[in-house]
Amino acid sequence: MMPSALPTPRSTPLTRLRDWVKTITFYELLVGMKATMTHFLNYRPITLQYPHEKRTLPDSYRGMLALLRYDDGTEKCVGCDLCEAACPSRVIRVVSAEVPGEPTKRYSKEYYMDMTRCLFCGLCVDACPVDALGMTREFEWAVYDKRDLHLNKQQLLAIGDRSYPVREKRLELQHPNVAFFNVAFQHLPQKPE
Amino acid sequence: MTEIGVKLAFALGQIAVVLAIVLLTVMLLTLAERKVLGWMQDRMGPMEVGPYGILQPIADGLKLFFKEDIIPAGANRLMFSLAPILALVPALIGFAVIPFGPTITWNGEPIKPFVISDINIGILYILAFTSIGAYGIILGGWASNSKYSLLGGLRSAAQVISYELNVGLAIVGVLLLAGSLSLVTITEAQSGGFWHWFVIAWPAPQLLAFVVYVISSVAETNRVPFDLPEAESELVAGFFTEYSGMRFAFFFLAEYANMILVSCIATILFLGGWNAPYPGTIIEHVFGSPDFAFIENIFWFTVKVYFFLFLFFWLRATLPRLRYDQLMRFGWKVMLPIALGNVVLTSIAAYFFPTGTP
Repeated sequence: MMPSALPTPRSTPLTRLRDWVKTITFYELLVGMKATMTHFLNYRPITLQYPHEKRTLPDSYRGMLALLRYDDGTEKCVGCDLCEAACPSRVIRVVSAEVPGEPTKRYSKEYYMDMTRCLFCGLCVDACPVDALGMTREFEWAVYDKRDLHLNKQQLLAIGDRSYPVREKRLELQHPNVAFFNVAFQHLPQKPE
Repeated sequence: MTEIGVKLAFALGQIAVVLAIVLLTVMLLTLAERKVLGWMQDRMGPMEVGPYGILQPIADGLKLFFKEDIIPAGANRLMFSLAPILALVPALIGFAVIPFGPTITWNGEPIKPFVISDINIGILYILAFTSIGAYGIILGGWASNSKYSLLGGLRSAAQVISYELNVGLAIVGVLLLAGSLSLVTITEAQSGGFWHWFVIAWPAPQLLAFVVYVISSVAETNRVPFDLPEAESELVAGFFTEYSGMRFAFFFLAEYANMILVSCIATILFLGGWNAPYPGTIIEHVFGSPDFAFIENIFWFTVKVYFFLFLFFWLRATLPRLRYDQLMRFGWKVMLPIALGNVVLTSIAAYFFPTGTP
């Protein structure tokens, strides 16, 4: 005997007769067929014809990753490797180096992303101290060759350039009070005294 | 000599026209099925090829035609090549005895332009040939050298045996009432309004036989909910798992041609074939031109056949697949007794209320 949580409905001759009539008239099947016919007559498809019409993406959509620049065209990335440390999938590889001639300044000499592994969690973007990483709203990145998804710095910067046309102003660290710890980029316009 | 030549040319023309119509209907059905299924499931169906996807069958056909024809290693090459033809030919050959329209009078003598050959054992001929079609499925499954194909073929064998019997027994009642095996005679016995159709006709309404026939024919054509031979969730694609290209297309064509064939037979045996649901035809009564009454007759035949084809789609959109033991139990322990009982009841009724036919 099977233990059952619900009490079984009482079986009387009347309910048995009703069940029998339902069985021989295919009642349950007809209920299902009525449901499909209702949908057939009230044809309201929920399909979105994807390549021709696209969904409105949510505001916080996390798409393709990109490296960003300041408004003067210089890279934001300071080569701190925090994104590499934050990435749970080991997508990012940063080769950090000193800015030539300025020993206290670093930048990313090489920057690689293996987008075949990326799960678009956004942890690298959160980890970046200078907001050098951004998530764009691009998602159509199907390629024929998997190797096309191994992106280098130039490609990531290009994605950033086309997705973020409005750039952030360069952080001004050349103020006299802090300039002692920073070596000025001579080619950059200095803040007036 | 010339008379024989004319008759031969006429017969060949009929064959060509019927074959063309059947194949065009198959093309239409492949699109209609996907569209109807889509609409019933709040989807759109094919939308890409042509406006609203109406050219999809052509695209499908071209694709299948140019696909590589693969014969798996270890397959029995002869049987593997033979099986799709063995499935397709019996399905198409059954249309030789299907009357699409009435006998018309031309130059004072009756001719039958809408049936290729009105032989006096028409329905027996169809039953015999559709049974051969099962060999195509079984051999295709066996010759593929694949376990899924073999399982599909074996299931098909058991299923066809169970349900072919019910089809035969469901038809017997109609044959008793009509007193003939010729499909033209059976149709003509149902003329004069829908109350003469054998599904509800006095003295022995064949309603039970009709239900048994429709269910059995769904099972015989391997359609949902009886698609166990090609159960894609269990057997990949069943008996045609290993087939590709045109051979696959042949199996596909055979399935749809079989659908049309069983729909035609259901129409002819139970729903009065080309007869309109009212006595005579509107064209003859109102416009007074009996020469063109066949247009209305063919229209009604088409409507009835398409009703059954729609029923096939509707069932497919609704019902889940039966389990194998359920299928067998339903076939042998429910449908067979009903069909046998119907034969007995019809015999008694036909004996006590003879309807005039021998």
